[in-house]
Amino acid sequence: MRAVSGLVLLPAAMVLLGFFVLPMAFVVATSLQSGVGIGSGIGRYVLFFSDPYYQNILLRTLWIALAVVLCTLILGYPVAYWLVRTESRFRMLFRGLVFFPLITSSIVRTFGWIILLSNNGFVNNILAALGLDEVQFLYRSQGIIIGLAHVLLPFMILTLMGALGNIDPALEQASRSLGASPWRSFYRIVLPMSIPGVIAGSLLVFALSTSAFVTPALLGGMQAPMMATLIYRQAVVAYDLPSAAATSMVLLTITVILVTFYYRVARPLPLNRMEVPLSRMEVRKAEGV
Amino acid sequence: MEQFSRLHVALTLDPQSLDSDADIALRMEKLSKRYPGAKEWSVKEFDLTVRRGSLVALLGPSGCGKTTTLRMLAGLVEPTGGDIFLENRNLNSIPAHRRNIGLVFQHYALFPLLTVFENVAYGLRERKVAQRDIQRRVAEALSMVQLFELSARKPNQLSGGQQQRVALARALVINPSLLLLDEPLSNLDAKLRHEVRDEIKRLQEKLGITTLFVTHDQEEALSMAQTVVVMRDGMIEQVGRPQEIYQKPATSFVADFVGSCNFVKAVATRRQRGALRCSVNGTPFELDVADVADAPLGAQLSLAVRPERLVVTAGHQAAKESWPGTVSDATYLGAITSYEIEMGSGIRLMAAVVNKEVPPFGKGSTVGVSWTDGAWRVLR
Repeated sequence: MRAVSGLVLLPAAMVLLGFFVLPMAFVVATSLQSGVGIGSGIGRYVLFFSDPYYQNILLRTLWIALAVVLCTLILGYPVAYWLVRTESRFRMLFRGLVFFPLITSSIVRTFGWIILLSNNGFVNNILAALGLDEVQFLYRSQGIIIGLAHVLLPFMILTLMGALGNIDPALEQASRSLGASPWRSFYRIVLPMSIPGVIAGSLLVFALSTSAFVTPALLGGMQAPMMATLIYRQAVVAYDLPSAAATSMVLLTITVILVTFYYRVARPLPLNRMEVPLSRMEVRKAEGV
Repeated sequence: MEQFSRLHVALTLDPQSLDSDADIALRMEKLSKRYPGAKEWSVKEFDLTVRRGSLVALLGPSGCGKTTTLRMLAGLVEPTGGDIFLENRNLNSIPAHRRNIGLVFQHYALFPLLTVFENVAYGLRERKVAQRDIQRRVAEALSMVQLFELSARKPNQLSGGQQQRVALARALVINPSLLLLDEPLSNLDAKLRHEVRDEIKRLQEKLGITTLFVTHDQEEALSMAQTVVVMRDGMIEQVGRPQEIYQKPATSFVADFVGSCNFVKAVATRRQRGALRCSVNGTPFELDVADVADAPLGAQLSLAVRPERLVVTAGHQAAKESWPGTVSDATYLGAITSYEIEMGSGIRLMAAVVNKEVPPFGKGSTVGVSWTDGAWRVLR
């Protein structure tokens, strides 16, 4: 029996090996090459971390990713909650509206933001009408954060809907029957139970933000580069493949570290086997049936 | 005919409840609910008065509106029309979290991230009760349901029966004016059901809390409640004590839903000695029922008899007046045997006979069916 199940994994293992492990090894090897491009061998990595230009880009990437997570969380959580709790007959329509942007290419959406956020664009016109100073969005972090938040919002909402949808509405009702207002019930019962979903959504958006290319490239250009934009410039414009490889490895490593850190520390301990509230299955198991 | 019985029922409240206002804890007047976009009304013109300290069951099939009524009482569903008065306060403008009503959900709805203790303490914390009092009251409530030792556990570490007791303690510790239970016994296995049933009755009596529960299980209703309210299609079919509901069902629905019932169509032929003699349609057989004043002779009537009131004797031993029939099926159920007996003209009667030393009748046996006085009733 064991032998059979092992064989079944073989095709998937080969795909993983051929298209992930080997290329990854190749990238590492490239990053350590000497005699080509800026720096050489391990020195390339040392250069990356000591040069303030690269440090800046790394920090900007992490900062933008964090900001995008916060924006999508704040905007997405109420939407997700409403979508799972509403009894409106147009429920399905609203859900469709949330995911509709995903059908549109992110490039098209980013171009839309370029138009809206430009110095003579819609947003700045409104600010001027309100008597406020013009704000420079494009080619700065601000524009990237707005664009990325817009593009990644459906992912956050989707993840949160999964988590919130698993929370039995009877729990909120029980809380209300015991004397807690709907707001208190949300705060004391729903919010704590939704934390795993918040973490999952944040991780997803964070990972997608740090590695984002199109939106930061279009909205930030080379005046506000993120890691992916830098890799592009190194690999395609400067044709400095070893530097591009090194930058890629740095990005990957840092993301893995942060994800691990978040997983270990930020999640509530100890975890039940199921992080969601008791389903009937769990109850029956406890009863020993 | 149907309308008569429903109107009759609406006006005839449980005689015990026609007391002074001081004794009435809960009053529902013309309570109704129609969900937006729905064609049918879930609850129509529900009228009920409940005495303080009594235990009332709302009994009915799925979709009869009993759970909707319960939720309207709790404040989780807004009524389309009508009023609810709890201790003479109109609840219509009061949201759920200010009604001080204890609610026990069908699947308990215990807060999974809180311990048993914290679950029970929840309502008290919301009321800003002092910590010392919380400790004392929660300990009391948990002791009352014999779960004090498990205070530190989480709900997922409890069995179903234990979870329900926690839910009960949680609802009772806040000293509610009304206790509502949604299908309290339906999730429990047969053995637990007896235990929990007795426990709920004991607690309710001891604390004297006005209690209302919802169930589709007539055994649950009959065994626990002092007053049973039978519902169908959003309306009350009958209100009464369990014995009344069972022995004197007002409608054929109640007769068939609560326990089982045989129905037979007959024509009233004459009155004699205080009884109404009826001729069963399609047969030469005649039987007597207790007279009902407004049944004109010659009228078509629906007659009903409970399976356990029928006496089945072997054909050759049967009395002359008994109704002859042939056993078409016999099901052994341990304490009783359930017979299906063909009486002719497509009439089939179910009889439930207690098993004694005499072996049960087999299929095809000829038998005589008789009954004790008053077994048959006229139904509307």
